[in-house]
Amino acid sequence: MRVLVVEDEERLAQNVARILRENASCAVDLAFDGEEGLFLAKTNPYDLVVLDLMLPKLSGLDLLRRYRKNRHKTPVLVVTARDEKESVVELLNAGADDYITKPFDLGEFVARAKALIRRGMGDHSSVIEVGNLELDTSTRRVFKDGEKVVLTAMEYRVLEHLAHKRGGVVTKTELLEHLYDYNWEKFSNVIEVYVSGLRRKLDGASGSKLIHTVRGLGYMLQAEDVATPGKTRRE
Amino acid sequence: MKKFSLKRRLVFAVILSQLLLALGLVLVASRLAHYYLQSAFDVYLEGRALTVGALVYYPDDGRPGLLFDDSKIPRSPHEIHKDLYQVRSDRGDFERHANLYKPGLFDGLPSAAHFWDFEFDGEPYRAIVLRDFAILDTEASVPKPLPKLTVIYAAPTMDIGQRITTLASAIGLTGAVIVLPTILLAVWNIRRALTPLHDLADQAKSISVHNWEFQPSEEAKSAVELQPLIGAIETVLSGLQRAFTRQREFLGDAAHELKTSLAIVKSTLQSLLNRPRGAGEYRDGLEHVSEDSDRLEELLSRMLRLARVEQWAADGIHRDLDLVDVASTCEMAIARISELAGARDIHIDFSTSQMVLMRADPADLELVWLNLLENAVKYSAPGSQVNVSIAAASHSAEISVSDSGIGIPESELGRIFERFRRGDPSRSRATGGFGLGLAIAKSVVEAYKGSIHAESKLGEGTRISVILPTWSPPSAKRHEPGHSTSDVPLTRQVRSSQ
Repeated sequence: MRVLVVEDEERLAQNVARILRENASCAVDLAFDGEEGLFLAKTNPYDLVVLDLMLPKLSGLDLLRRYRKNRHKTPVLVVTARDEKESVVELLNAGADDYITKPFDLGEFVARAKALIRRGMGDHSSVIEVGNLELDTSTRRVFKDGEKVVLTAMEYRVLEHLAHKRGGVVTKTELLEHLYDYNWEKFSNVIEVYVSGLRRKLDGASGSKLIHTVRGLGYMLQAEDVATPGKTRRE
Repeated sequence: MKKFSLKRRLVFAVILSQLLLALGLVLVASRLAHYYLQSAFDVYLEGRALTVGALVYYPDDGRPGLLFDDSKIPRSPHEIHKDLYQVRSDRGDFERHANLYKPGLFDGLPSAAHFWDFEFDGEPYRAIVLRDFAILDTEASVPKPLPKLTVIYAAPTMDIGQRITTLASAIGLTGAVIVLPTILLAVWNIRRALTPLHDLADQAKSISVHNWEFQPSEEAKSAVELQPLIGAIETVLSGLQRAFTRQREFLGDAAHELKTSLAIVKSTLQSLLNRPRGAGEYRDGLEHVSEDSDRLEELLSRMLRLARVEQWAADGIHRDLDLVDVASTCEMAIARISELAGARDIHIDFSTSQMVLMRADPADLELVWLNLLENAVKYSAPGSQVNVSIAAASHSAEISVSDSGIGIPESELGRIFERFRRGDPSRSRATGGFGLGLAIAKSVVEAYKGSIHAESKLGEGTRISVILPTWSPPSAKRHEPGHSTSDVPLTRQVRSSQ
């Protein structure tokens, strides 16, 4: 998951980024003013934008309005030090999905961030089931046939993204864009490594296949190999 | 004070004046009537007395003595209380009187009086006295000098009293009949006249912290008497509203700053606790927390200082202050900023021409200069110069701090003295300011009855000048400026340590 944090208090931004990386396995980009924030938000496919309201150059509210005007659907979590009713109403009307008031609890912040990412992906529960595979996104644990599977951080992130988009094709670029911050191009050939690692751990000896390669397009997570859709389409 | 109603007071005043009017009318009318009636009565008395006098005559046949023809006495108008008369000669040999006359009746007659009031038979009478009345009917044969007559004629006056009573009661009754509708009319008019006042009161009653709307009716606004009141209410309201809004904004801004600062500390601590860390990470984190709490402390102390200065200025507390040399407070401030200025390679030039004294707490003045210098140094390019100068006038001094920094856009210039405002938000956090420095400076300067102004040109620099009232020696009015305190103008040049 890739998150943009727009916050002019650098220390706070770093702390928020750190907790998102550590507890939500997110790639995090930082912007310290409104203009930079809007530029990044418009040019990158984020899964969540964390937005402070009092920003230099361009206020958080203006950023949000312009962002929504451009038909971006990424969930926006607003961080504000003002909790007057009017401003909250104004925020939600402007297109914010949730808000949290300073000083906030980092645990609560991460929970809200994850919930927004999940909903942005179209999932309502923190537990995703694909065939005999069970993914708990809140604790970041994976079970196969009820047994815990130990994954590396990056493997988990690849799997989580595939799970959110289960049944659909996910391109390599999309994976890269959502798993790394803005210098993702450096990592272009590592996806295969993570995917093969995942296959080894999940498919194992059982023979059942979960991660399918759609040649020339990308990957897809699906319960049974009922004639891979990619193949059907091609033949 | 006891409560009272304006309307009741006015109605009472109207009734009282109406009654007084009626009473006055009755009194004046009866006095006038009495005067006219008595005049007419006196004419009647005189006429009757003359008639009685004319009835005395000498006999035709030359007999001595006087005769009186009482058959020709006019009839009394009153049947029961008849008129009285007496006619006598001054020689004492002749005296005639009315039948009813009792001896001694006219004895109490004052010697000089022309008219005389007395009581007879239980009724008031009025008499006329004609003295030295010459006998009209004389014969040539009668020896001269002829005797003179004294004629007294009296008649009852109760008719006058009766007529006056009738007249007075007629006027009184008419008055009473007229007073009642007049009072009703007055009450109605008073009620109508007081409507704008009622409207105004209702309007004023509806004002509260949540409703600053004050819209008096057109009628109230047109009333000359209410205009000053409306004006005063409007002035007070707008002042209050401004103060209230400012206060709320300040609270909001202060809360925002405090919450943000707290959020930083909290997030650092929570992210440290999120998972076990290495000793280096813990040290870094603790250092961050320490720095951020220093910042929080500084913010708090500045906010409290601002609140204290404003409170002190608002309460107008008189403080016993010593005379302070303004230049020395500038030097102190320059010394305190020198470290920051040195780090940014900024020179501070200080020039003053003469001693400027004023009653002040040196710490307050130092705070003002420090805040101005802090801004000047922060927004100046490294290697540039900041100028501090003092120019003294007769009763005031202008202290200015000018830099050749980035300047302030014209749209922001009017607002830089507001709290929590920074010229350009983008550099706010980088410079570590809170946007309180200039607000504090302004509050302190205004507390000393001075003024503060800013001029700026984008890219060329900013000049902030403070004008403070200074102390001048009471006996030095006629002295040339500069000679009163010292003969040699002071010149100081201070350069910040590099």
